[in-house]
Amino acid sequence: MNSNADVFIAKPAFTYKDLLLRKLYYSVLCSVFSQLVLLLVYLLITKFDLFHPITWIKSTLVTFVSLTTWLYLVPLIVIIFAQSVICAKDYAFKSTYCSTRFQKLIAVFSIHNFVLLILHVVVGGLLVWMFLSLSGGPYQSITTTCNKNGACVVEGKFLLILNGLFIGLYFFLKVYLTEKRIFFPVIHQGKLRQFKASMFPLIKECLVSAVAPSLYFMLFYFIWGSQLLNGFKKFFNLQPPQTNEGNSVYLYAWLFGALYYFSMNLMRFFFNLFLTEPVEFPLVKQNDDSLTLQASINMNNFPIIQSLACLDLKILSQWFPERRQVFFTLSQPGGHPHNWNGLVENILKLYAEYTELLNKSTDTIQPEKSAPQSSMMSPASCLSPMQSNRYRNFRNMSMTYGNDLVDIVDISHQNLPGVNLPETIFHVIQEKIINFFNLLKVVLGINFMFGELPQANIQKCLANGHLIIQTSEGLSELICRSIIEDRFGIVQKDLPVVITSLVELKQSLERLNKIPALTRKMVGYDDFNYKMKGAVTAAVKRSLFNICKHFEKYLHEFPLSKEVVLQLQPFVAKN
Amino acid sequence: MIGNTAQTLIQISTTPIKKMRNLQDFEVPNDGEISVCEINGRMQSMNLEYANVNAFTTSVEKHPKIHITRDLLHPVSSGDEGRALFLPVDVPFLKQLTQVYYEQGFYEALHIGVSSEHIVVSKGSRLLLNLLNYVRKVQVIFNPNIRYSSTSLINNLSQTKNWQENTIRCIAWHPYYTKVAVATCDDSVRVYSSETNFTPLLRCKQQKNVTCIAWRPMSNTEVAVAHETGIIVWNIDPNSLVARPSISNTIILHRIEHKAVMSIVWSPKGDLLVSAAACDNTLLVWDVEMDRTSFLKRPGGNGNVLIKWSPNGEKLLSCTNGVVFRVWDCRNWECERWTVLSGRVQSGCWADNGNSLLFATNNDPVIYSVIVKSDLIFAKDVENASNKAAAIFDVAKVDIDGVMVGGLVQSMESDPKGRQLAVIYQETNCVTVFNVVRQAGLQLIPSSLVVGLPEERPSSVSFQQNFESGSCLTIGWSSGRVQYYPIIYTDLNHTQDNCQLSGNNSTFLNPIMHSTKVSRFL
Repeated sequence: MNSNADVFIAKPAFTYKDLLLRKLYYSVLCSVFSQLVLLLVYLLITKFDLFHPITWIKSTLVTFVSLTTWLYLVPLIVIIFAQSVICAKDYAFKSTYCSTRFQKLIAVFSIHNFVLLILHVVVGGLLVWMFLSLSGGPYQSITTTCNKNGACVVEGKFLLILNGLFIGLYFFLKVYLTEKRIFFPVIHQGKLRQFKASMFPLIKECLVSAVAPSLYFMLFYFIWGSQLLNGFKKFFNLQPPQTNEGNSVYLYAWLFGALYYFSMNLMRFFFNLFLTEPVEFPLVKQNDDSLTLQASINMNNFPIIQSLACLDLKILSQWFPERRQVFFTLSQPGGHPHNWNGLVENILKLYAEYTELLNKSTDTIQPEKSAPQSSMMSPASCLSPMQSNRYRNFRNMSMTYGNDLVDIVDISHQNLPGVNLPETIFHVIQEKIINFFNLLKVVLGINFMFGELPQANIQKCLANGHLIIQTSEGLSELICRSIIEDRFGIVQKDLPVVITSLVELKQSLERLNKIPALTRKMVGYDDFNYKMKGAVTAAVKRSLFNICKHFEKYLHEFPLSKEVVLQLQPFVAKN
Repeated sequence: MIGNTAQTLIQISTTPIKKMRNLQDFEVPNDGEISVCEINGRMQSMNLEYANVNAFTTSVEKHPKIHITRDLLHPVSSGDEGRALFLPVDVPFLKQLTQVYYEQGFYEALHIGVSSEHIVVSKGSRLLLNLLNYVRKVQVIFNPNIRYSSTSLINNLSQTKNWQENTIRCIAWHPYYTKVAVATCDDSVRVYSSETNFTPLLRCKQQKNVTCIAWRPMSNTEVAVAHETGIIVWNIDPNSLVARPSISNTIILHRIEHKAVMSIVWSPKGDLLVSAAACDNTLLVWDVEMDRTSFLKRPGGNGNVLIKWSPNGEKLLSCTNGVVFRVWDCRNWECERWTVLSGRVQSGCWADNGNSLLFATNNDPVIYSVIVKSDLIFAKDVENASNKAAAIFDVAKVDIDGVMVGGLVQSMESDPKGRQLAVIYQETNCVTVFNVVRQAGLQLIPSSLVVGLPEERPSSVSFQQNFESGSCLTIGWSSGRVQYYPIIYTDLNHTQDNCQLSGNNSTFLNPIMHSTKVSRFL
């Protein structure tokens, strides 16, 4: 093995646990720490004094380090910590896909979600309570001493804390439950740069998105506010509020709503920031537990590690000649291209599974489409004996099983009329009963609840689309670089199989165009799936184009089936 | 690898630059003749009435003939053509208000509101109008660019000469095929191909004031069109015979604050699209299909004018509308910051396979070169790489045999192999073509002077990307004529064949090509 490869062996090994824990540890730490910074900034703003800057800063710092503040802060931090640890599970581990509405419903009403809901609501109230208490002013305490003996309730603070609880509830239901997807940024800049670039848009977004829940809350308070206030008074034996609140309290409600949104979005942002940070995977296995790039590509249980591995493949194929060289070297002793074989096997397995899932879901939607497809889907003949031996454990995606054999002998009985009368009646009755049950299922909503949702598989496929985008771009780039860098011709032996798999994938993706929900842009609904379908298809086509362009002169020398060659025509055509 | 250290360039424009070459070295074609091509370093010209490039070379014989006359242009609809047909009538105020709001927008509706008889409406409108004016004034303080109306702003900053008036606004060649997209002043883009006479017309309601076109690499069907308010990525099926592809074949990219998009560029692998806008100091990096963006933002300047990806894909040049221009490292997206003394970078392009940068400012008729530090191939580059730009050619206006040449640069383009540089000027009507050679840094050697027909001014230049026998300069003239100006080296073709045989490793062979050319010209 050459010296380049040795460099990468020397890299410290890590397991998926190390990697995940490190990333999650930083995200949680930053989320908690950001709460302190947020409080400090809040205090700086509320205690702002233009004419006495030293007093201003001094009073802010005194408040910040005082024991009272930390007494408030500790429970909040504990809760935020708990919340982020529980959220971490959502981001880092495999999300389940629910194929029926009932499953979806059950998934929503899980204990995990219930705990998170409580935490979100509690943080909402606690955040407002703490901020109001520390900033001084009329809302410092929820009670004031009245003229007579006894304490009066301060309606403003009551309203704002209630608003905090409401916003917590709203955020959990509206945002957290629906948007758990982690997006990789388009380009990977430094974390600080990303942080700086995202803060201003984030603040703007929070101010805007807090408007709606604040309005809902005001409506809610307008209708039930007095009853709640009375209940509260009675429970704590307090006097009614002395003064009427001005309109400014509504402004505060909105601002605290925005603050809550910001603090929660910041947590999501940190998770996104740390989890999507590219990682350099080792390319050679060092001990049994350590991760390699090749194996991580198929790590379905940890989607985030899988995504990072695919991303790393794309990055190394473009930017790191030394790391690319590891794939183009032979093992010593033995002279086997283990590194490359491992990579290509895993990627092809990923493609095969993906294509299979796509085919399965498109087939169930259009079962009546039984046009003779056998000629279209049989590019398998291209495999040379050596290759087919190597991939003998794979189900061959390109073969059509059984379809050709079904109607070889068609035997049909022509029964005499009259003889089959009871049978006909039986059939009719059976049909009626089945129809009745079907109707019952529809009327009672059983189908609605327990019937399999259409396109659940497709959604699952498209949610993983970025894996295909990155691996196809990475693999094609690696293959194209091999023209110059691969001295042993390691890549060339697998090229026909890679091209064939990509072509099959492309064909399966093109079949998605027949699904009505994915053929046109629908405002709001299924927008992600529509875009992802376009993105995956375009990436696979680009990869094929890249390979065809670089190997244009030699394409005819590869044992590709006619069908595959036909499919490649658009990429080698001259116009 | 480049760190994020900020470097400052101080151009010593006041000190006389010793023995800088100037435009006097160019030869003007004989009177009544126009230059048609350059073969083996020799400019060939013909009488303008019989000018035919095919008399010298067959390399552009199959190229599409493009001449967009005024008759071919589509009328630009302003949306109120129908109004002239109808007599004005008195309509109720509310109806008038809704009509104006629908047709001309909120701002005009407020103006109508001010003239209302109802005191509440008129006062309210006036108040809102004043408020909007104050907001606008504050915006102008932070971003002076928005003072200009968008078309005049584009006209000032565009690479296209006389952008507002000229028929041809932009020419873009496909990276792999003999296929060219031409944007015209009627907001449409026409796609011509050598393989077919069929020319799809790309036109839609949203596409107003086209500024830039870019074909997507790794695809034969997609072309991105930058227009005033965003970008439209068209997908044209080459096998389809639809003359006007519908909007359903497009991806529309648009951000409200990213306005007057001036320049777009695809990454060499076709996965990213970067756009620069005149009133937004952030460069947007698009994931086109997913309609998602990342921001490239650094302080300095309040808008961007020009972006160009280096041929090797490692660097990206971005020029702001202030004194700053930047060279981004596309691996980690850190940048080198450069400044010019005054004005802004008017135009720039990559040379020497992405290792050097040529640029010109908008107030100094000089072409500068900068060696960009990167993974250096040749050891001597380390010594040459400096923090200062070298002034390498004086393009001040000169009179050569009665023909005015040079002046402030409008636009510069280099050919894909980095051997030729074409420059058009703001005030004069000739295109100058230089040879770019590597000898003690970069040198520009005058090659040929392309003069158009009488009264023709060049509006845009571009090089064909897949021209095998040399370079093919394409000039869009103000008359709507597109001229191909092939620059052919017969012996170079031979070298090129050798180069391809040795495994596409042209990077290492480039210096050899340069040195052969140097010996030819010196």
